[in-house]
Amino acid sequence: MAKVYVSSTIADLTEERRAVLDWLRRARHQAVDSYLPDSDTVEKSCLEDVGICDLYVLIAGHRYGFQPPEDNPEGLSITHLEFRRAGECGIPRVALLRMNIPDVRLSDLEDPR
Amino acid sequence: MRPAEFTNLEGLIQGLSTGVQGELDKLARLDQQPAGPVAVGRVLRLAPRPVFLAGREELLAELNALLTGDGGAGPRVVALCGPGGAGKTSVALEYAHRQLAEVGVGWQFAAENPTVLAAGFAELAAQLGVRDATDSRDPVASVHGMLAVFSAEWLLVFDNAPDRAVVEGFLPPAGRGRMLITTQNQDWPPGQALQVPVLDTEVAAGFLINRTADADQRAPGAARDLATELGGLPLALEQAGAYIQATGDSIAGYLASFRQRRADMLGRGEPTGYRKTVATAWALALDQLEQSAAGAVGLLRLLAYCAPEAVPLRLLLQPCPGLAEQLGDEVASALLPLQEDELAAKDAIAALRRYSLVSQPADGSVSVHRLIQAITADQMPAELAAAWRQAAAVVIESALPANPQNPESWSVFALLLPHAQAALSVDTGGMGRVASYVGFSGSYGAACDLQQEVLKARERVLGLDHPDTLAARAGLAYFTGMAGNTAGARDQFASLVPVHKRVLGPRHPDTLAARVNLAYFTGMAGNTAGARDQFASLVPVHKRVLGLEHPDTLAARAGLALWTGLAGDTAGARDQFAAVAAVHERVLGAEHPDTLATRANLAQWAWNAGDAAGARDQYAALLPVRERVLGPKHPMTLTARSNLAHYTREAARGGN
Repeated sequence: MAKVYVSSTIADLTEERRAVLDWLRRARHQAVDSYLPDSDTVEKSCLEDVGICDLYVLIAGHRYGFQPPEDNPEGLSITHLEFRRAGECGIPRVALLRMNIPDVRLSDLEDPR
Repeated sequence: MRPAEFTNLEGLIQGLSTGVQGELDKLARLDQQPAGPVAVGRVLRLAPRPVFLAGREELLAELNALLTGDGGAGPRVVALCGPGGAGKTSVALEYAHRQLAEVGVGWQFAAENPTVLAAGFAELAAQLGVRDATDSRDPVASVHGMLAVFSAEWLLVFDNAPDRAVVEGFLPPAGRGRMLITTQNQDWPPGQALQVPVLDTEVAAGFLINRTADADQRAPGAARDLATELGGLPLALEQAGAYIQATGDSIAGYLASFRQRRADMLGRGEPTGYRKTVATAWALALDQLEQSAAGAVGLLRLLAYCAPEAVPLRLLLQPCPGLAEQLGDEVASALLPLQEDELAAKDAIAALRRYSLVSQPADGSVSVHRLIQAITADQMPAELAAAWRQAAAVVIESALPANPQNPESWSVFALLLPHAQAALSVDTGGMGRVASYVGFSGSYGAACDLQQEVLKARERVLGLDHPDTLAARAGLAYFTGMAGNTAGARDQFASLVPVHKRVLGPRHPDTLAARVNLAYFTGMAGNTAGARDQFASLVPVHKRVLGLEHPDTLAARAGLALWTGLAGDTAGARDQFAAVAAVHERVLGAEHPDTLATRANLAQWAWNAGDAAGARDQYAALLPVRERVLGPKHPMTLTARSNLAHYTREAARGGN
């Protein structure tokens, strides 16, 4: 059983996240879910959670994700920060990249989350 | 990084499973690599990171704070203390693995003895390049010298040190370092020791569910029960989890086996990352104690038959006249010195603390983990185990106060209650006193249950007519009434009084007490005139048998006064209370609780009889006494003050 951090944007990858979390649970791994980003505290707790996992799984779709306005000089998204933190901690990373063209709506272009 | 592309959910899961499995395999291969540097410029030797760790985040945070917080220059040292199986090494390793990115050296030493430690330092010296295999320089000094000037941070784990003396000379004195010592020994300088506690029930139950993936409907309940049985001990939980997984059993199935065959189950199961089972982990400590501190083994055996709650040793280890005759030679020679010599008892506790077998003493009490109790008991031959069980029962019974009605004894009863329930059989006098304490201190329902058991045991062992059996019946009847079933209490006393008369005689104090209770509960069940008449016939008997000024005679007179009033004759009640109050004051003194109660009754019945001024005067006299005796804020003082104000107002109005 390994502790696996699952990192992704939320809005465009709902089904994929559910499928990944289900698979991990069925495989008896402990899935650690990232949260809906709505505060700096959540951002911090996400990053702390990453550091204590054995494995990091990124699901990347077409959204870049929420960029916390504070303490974030490079303007990176939480997903990006989590990805980077896993690398810093030496945690093995598995990246799953969606290649098909998604159904992008106008609102998506205005809101990268 | 292992990237994979997908266009649908099937492809996603394929990429996920390949990626996760591939990375986990890589990690497993790393763990199996021979020790030595695993990265250029870093010197690492640590056992694999614990696979199953639960409920340790707060502890790890505290550990990190101790190892990285402000506290002067030089390396930091923390000793992780706890009994065998508490998970000290797992916490140390988890911490070390989390710090890997920050340290240039991460090294774990076996610290059981100085020889093994010295060999470990020779290996580290070689890895650091400060000494080769044929070098005759002291490897410890070489390592210390290197670490003092090492540019990166370093972290050393001294695993399973028996005491401070063994590791002291090996701890590097200078450098940017953190040191973790895991040890059962509790003797460390203040601020250096960090306790590794057992897990609380919910966390432990969650661990069992996750570890076994038991999806059975009964699993959550069974996991909680098993977590409680195992006292939250991480090693025992891991052992149980490993056994359940290996055998395909369920948590509920393991729980049932454990309850039936505890000793066998504690020796079964192969915990991941640990060489010992719970049984062997502690057997070693017990063997070593037997060689070095026989008194400590005796104390542990006594504690094995107490409850897992705090054991008030200051009460149990008192010289106990006549005890030697009740104990076998082997038990007596171990136990009596502990009771007669305070220093011997302290030495025994200190020896047990060297292996974390008992908690830190507090207020003269220590506690023992329930599995340590179980293993200590299970490892004795049956005959010796029975002798120690008997010794614990005798010692606990001797420590129980004689009079459970006296409120001053209640704090002692409270401390001894769990241990009496664990060690005493229900037919003992001690359990009878415990049942009475439970009732007199206000837990009437619980007292009824306990008294019922005591009664059944006495009926079986002593017979129906034995005085102790009758006392248990009277106790049950009394607490039945106090718990609210006044008619039941009345009926029980009604059937008990004739037995008392026949067995003990009509003038026996217990017979009279049973009659008083019958009268009282007759009234409480609604028949006030009947209660009055019964008290009226009891008072002359009391006077004749016990004397005019005996407290029981006065109590019977107060009873008569009360039920006279409740049956309608308020003036009669007032006059009777006035007469009783005068005797109480003369015999018991003005400040005795009975005197105060009688005077309060007198005031009340004066009011009931229409005499507001009389009531006012009684409370005016009573208030300063209550203020003095009970204090100005005691509820009864406040009641007296409030009543005084009320009756003063009523008297001014001219009556009620």
